[in-house]
Amino acid sequence: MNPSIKTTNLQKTFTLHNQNSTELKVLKNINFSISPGECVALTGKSGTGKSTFLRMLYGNYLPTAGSIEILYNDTYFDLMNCLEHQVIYLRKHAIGYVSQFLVVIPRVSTFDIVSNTLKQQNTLEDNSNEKISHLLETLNIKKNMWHLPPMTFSGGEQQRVNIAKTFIGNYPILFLDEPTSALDKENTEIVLELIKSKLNKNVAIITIIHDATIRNQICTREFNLENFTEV
Amino acid sequence: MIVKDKILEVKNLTHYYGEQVGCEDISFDLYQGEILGIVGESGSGKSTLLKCLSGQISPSQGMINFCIDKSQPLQDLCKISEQKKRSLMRKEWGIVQQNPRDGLRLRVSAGGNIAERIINEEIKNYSKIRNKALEWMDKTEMEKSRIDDFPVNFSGGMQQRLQISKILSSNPKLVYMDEPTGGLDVSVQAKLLDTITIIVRDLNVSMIIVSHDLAVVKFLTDKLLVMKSGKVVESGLTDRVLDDPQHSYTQLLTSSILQV
Amino acid sequence: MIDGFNFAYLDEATKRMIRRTILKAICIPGYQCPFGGREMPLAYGWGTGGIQVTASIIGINDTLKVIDQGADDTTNAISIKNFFKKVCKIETTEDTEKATIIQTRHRIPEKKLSENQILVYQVPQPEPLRRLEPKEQETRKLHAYEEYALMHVKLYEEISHFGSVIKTYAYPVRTNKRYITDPSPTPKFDNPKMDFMEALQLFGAGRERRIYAIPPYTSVQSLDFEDHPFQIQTWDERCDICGSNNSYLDEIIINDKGEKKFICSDTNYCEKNLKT
Repeated sequence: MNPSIKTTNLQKTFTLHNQNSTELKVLKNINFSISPGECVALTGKSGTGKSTFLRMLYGNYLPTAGSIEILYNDTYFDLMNCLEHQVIYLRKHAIGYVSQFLVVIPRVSTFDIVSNTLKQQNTLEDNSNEKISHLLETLNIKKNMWHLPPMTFSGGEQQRVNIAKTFIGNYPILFLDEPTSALDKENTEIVLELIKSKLNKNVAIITIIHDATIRNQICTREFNLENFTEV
Repeated sequence: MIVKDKILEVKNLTHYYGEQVGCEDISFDLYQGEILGIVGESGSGKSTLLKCLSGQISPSQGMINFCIDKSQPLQDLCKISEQKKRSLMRKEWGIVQQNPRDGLRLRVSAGGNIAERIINEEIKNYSKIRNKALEWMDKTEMEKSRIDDFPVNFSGGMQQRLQISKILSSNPKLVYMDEPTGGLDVSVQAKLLDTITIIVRDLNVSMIIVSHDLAVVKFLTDKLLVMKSGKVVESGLTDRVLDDPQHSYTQLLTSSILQV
Repeated sequence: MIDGFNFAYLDEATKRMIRRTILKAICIPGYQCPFGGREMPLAYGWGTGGIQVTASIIGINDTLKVIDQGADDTTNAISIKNFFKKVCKIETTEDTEKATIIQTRHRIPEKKLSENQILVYQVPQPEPLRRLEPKEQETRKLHAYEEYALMHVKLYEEISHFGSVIKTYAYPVRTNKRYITDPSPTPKFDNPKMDFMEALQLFGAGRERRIYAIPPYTSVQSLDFEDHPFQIQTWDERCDICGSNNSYLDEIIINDKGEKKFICSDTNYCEKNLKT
């Protein structure tokens, strides 16, 4: 099967112009690929560049050298040569990103935040409301909170809304940055089950999870970024 | 496969005020539904650029190609007649002015202000015009009961909403906003930003927003031009530019934000 | 004719300049042509524009009628008539049919005018867009590019605030399907008379130094909305003097008890009506 993401000689160096042009060489020569149905955990000590790598794949950080190719609808997109609106399109349709913290428009209700993902993907249908309700119920978000904006929710609740917002969509690729960090044991199990069902649907998942026991339950492979840091 | 219509194509746009550089050698493209932010400190040329783009001043050099009709090639705005330009301004573009007093007729009621752009579309039916005005006030979350009140009695936030209603009512292709939330207090600003985001998402209209407020820009825009001394020093996806700034000026700018 | 003055008060060069302006105005119906307005021996606001137009077109064989609010016997009308008698020794009349030039402020005679007559209006403010758009430069562009939405905004405002268009005089019209024109302070009752009028209509604004014209047989349409069509004033009463029920009526308070009568504003029409 064709890999969902391919990187070639990917390199990232931060140049801090206002700090005497200090250069921070973070990552180099990363040749990475992931296939549909795989779940790859990024590992390495704090500061090795796990988040930096993920952010480059999402187009959020600009690689210093190398290339990133994203597969969507049987076509590879060279991320670094994509126009802005094409990157945004890929983010709406190809790559779902569960960040560590929920970022939303302030006054929009929880339910609408989730349904907006379907709207963006043009998959809002008559039975969508049932689908959304079902997912929110599965994630133990109480029904009386659905019409409220999640700004005032607890950390764990916000994290689950964040997961619902991305998991409702039909993304062939998912990035999960510490998806269970704020969750208790019961909710962690629920989220892991959701991740497994995504894997069964051949979604390619890249994740950062510190807790090795949780990691081992879902990941098919580890990718240690310490091997690619400059010394 | 991911193809969108190009609304605007700016090439080597330059404007001098005498010897003084207003903006220099600016090029970018804008696609349907895209929201572009222009940031930079005071005097960096943001407003000059916006004025050139929106036809308020003629640039010294360069091209501003605009999509007047999708079936036709883009046309250089510097070369079309003033009449055509004015007709585009009334319908296809809109400028949300920083100071609502510049964008509204203060002695004409809220409804009348919106009506002006609707009547331009050859609608000469009072009830239709009024209903459309009400519809737009509703969309911008204004109280419909204030349709016959004069904007001179509105708060700053309300005046800004009215300006936005007025401009969007003619269904424009491209909207320019000059510091849309300048001078508003924080809570009013936040609500206005919500409204703009929600409406724009629904309408798929293209926008160019000039602001020195990075929070506003981060919230509203898809891509960004960072200007300094009349030139674009960095451009790209908004979150990319702000999270991973490459140019020294952008790094200075992003590191200057106060954390709350 | 008094000594020391040229025929019709103005010197020949000035009259020629004004006639050129009038010709241009006739060529572009409804367009406000600037002209070099002269100081007249009476104050602005008393009809200096109309008098200059009349003075430029009047000839020795003309018969002049002057009306103010439709009446021949008001101070302003009589003064202007006397002025022309003095400076040109021409015939004056109160009879609408006999006049070749009728100078008016406010009214169009009830009697239908004919091809060999000229109606001269005294205009206080020639620019219909003035109160909506204060910049002269901008109003000129609005006319040039036919950007007339603003005029409908004015009508929209009146319907919104008062339920209908309340403007009863100087009601804006579109001349020859092109220029929006202010019919001076005439009541909207007279607007339909301007449409395809057989007589030439000339408008002179002295203070604003503008002349505009509506040639004979030119379309003049009052602005309106589809669902709020233009309507003229009507009265339940009849004229107290002649009994007319189709002319423009003035309301007259006749005593301190507030009792009132309605009489024709067009005195010549009323008189003739009474005779027949």
